[in-house]
Amino acid sequence: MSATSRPGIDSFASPSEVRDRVGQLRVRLMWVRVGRTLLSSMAAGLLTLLVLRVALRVLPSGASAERVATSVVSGFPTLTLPYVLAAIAAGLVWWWHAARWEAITAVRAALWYEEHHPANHAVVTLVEAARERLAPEVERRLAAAAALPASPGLPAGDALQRAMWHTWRTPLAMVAALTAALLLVARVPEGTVARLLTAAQSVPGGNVAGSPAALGAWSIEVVPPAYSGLPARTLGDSSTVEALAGSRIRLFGRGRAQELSAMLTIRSDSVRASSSLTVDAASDGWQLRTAMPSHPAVVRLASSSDSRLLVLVPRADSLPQVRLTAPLRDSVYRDTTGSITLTAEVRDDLGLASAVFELILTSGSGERYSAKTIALGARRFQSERSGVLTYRLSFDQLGVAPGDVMHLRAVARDAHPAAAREAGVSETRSLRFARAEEYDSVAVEAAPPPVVDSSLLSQRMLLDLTEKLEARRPRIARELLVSEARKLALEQARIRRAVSAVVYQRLSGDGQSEHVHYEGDGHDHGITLQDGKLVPSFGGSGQNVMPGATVPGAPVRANDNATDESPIIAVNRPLLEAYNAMWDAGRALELGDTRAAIAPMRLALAAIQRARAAERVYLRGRVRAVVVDLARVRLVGRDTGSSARRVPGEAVPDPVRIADARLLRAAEELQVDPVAGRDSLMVLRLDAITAAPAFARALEVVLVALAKGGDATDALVRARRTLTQPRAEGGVSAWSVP
Amino acid sequence: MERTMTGVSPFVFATAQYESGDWDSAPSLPGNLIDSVARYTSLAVAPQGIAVPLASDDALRYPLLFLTGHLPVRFTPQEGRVLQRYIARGGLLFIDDHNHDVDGAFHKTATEEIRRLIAPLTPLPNKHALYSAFFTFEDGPPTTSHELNGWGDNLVHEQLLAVRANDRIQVLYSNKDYSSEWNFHPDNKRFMGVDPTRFGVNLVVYALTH
Repeated sequence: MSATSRPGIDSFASPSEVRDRVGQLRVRLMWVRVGRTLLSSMAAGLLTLLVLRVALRVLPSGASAERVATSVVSGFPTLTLPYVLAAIAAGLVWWWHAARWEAITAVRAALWYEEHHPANHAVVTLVEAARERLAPEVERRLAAAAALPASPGLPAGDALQRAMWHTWRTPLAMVAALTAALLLVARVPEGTVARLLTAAQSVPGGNVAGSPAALGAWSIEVVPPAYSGLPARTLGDSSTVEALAGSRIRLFGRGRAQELSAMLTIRSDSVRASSSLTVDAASDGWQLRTAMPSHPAVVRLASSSDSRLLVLVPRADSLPQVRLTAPLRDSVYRDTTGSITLTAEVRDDLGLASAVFELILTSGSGERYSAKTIALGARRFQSERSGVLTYRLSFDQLGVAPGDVMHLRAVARDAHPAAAREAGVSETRSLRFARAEEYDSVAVEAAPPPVVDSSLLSQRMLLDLTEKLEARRPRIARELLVSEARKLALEQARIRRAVSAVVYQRLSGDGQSEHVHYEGDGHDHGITLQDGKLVPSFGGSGQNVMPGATVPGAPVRANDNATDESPIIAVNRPLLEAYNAMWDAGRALELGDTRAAIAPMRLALAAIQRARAAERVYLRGRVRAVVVDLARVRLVGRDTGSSARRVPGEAVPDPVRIADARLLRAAEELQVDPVAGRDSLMVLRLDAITAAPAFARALEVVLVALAKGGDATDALVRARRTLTQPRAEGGVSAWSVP
Repeated sequence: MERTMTGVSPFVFATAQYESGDWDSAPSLPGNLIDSVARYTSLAVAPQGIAVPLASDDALRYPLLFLTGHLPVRFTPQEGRVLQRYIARGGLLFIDDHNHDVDGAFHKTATEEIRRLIAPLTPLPNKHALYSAFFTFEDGPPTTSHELNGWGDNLVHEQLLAVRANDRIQVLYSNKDYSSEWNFHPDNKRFMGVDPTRFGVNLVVYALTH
């Protein structure tokens, strides 16, 4: 063999290159095996999926395997379960293959090569001799025997491709077939086979051409209200939708819309109503639209032979949560000046729109109240979930006055567009501004209302009586006029004392009237008594600055110098004026001058009216308990006295008989003790002066006779006859002459 | 609550005590209504009323709660919870606007609170069973002498407002100022030609029988 007839030794791969190429071949062979295992696992998973899908179509829709599986694996997502099972099957196949793998070593790769390209085991020998140090010449000869080309490239590439195809074609075909089958099954609605079978049984001859529309898988599109900012989402074949109330829901599927009907039923404790829904034709089937109600509801979609339910579970848009953090509790403020900081925390589940402090300022007392509502510190939000609202509230700017009450709360609104949407509110704080008279009192215990003295004439009644007496004056005697006028003066004095009691009760809590202390006595109530009238006093200066008060007889005007006096004096001014007018009226009535009394009496009445309308003070405190005497009201009271049987009382003694008996005892005493007998007769006469004047006169004759020392027997007999007149009997006495 | 010899718990007139306002503005009213119940009916009735905090579960013991005042009504969360439970358990809450003013703070806040906690108030028909529960009021709620007294809204309200469930009154609301009309000592009834508290008897009888 010539050197040119065969390739030179340098045209073949060197020993090291042979080993490297065998190493590359080994890696490729490993990939072929991994690919086969992967395809087999995929085929197993797809087969599992196909079995489950077919089962869904075979079983009736109401009892599909998917639902059965879901009920077994409670809470597991319906759509995920088949894929999990498929993955498990694939994993099992992978594991089965991997357990049977044999290691692909370099020697095995070399053997595989020589199986397809025989080289007298030169390649195998070179690979095996890699660890043994052969002579370089031997290795060169072996490489030459291997006859691998020097150019780079995978040895036996065509054989490797054939082997790969041979190994992969079966699982690859299975994967392709199963995938196609799955795609085919996916286009068949659930329960189709069962319905076909049912129709074949019900229709003679198994004709299914007129079978009812199938209620297969549907899809659900949920579009939340725009104000919520939540994204739209599409659900698969679900039987429950949970979404924000007001969300637009579109239910759609394949089939003919004309054969379907839908009914929406709201089911809750407070609402139960049904309404039909319209099923429209869509491009590829049917669809119906509705809105998520505010109460749980169910949509029943029905064909002529089948029905499905879709449960609508609304999620309410909760009201904003508001917490007023400052002021933290109710308070009573001493001053009406200054400022406080208002702070509130607000949060909402979807997003806030605005928040504001709402303040109701109430003024007044008794039956007269006025209130105004003020919004403070308004803030707008840009759909933030939480925020803080603050405001500096100035009492001076608000113009509060003592006795006012503020009810403060924070109000927050979300972006819900409904006009009747409620706002979230915080707790309400009550802030009260104390009146001046409350300053020294920590706990006010209201005194019960004073007991009304019903024996008092009213000033108006007294005025009426005086005017009537004045009208009668020309026709009655002066003495009678003065007598009647003085009676009225007494009544006027009683009313005046009642008024002064009210004044002193207010000034010092001391209800004793007209115990005025004079200036400089160290016990000043703010008023002094001058010439019988009450006038305001000012410390110990003795200076009466109230015009009119220093002039006896001048009325005290309620508005005189009102700005210079204490509030208590100002409050009592009408009563002071009434008191002084009553003093004038009473003095005129004492003198019998009814004409002069009428004017101050009218003045007093007007002042009382002003005082009544001027102010009413209702102190908070314990309610006066009214205990009703139920027995008295129901007239079922029982006599609580002795229950013994009653006996008639003795008749009232006859005064004549008593006097007769006393006269006889006195006559007998005269014989024993003349002085005692005479005294008895004198007492008897005294008692008889009113009741029996004739008897008294007769006894007087007896006493005169006794005083003269003479015989009083005849006088006593006449006195007794006076007391007991002899009664005339009917008929004629036996000795009389007819 | 004590029981009588017959085993019947006597009716106790309860006044609701709430935090925000002057709940005690009609102190003589309870005794007056108790007097009327005793005078006209044979119901077992306690001789004295009671003031019960609305924030306390004790409020649940009384079938009728009377609530009045002049100042704004803002129930605390606890008061709101008790009130909702009270209504759910069948109690009757009678609210009277002592201001008799639809523009007043009491009316605005009280109606808002009832709407927030219970339900919106609606007009009560004048033929409702309340008006024939004991005395018969052909024309609905009796007019009070305070409706046109120059204060308040100066309106004669021809209907009361109510929250009802199956026609049973849960909350009764009045703008007629019965708090003033009935706020006098019962002994003064002898001076009156017609007892104005007769409607209160209907209220009590209705609360105990419905």
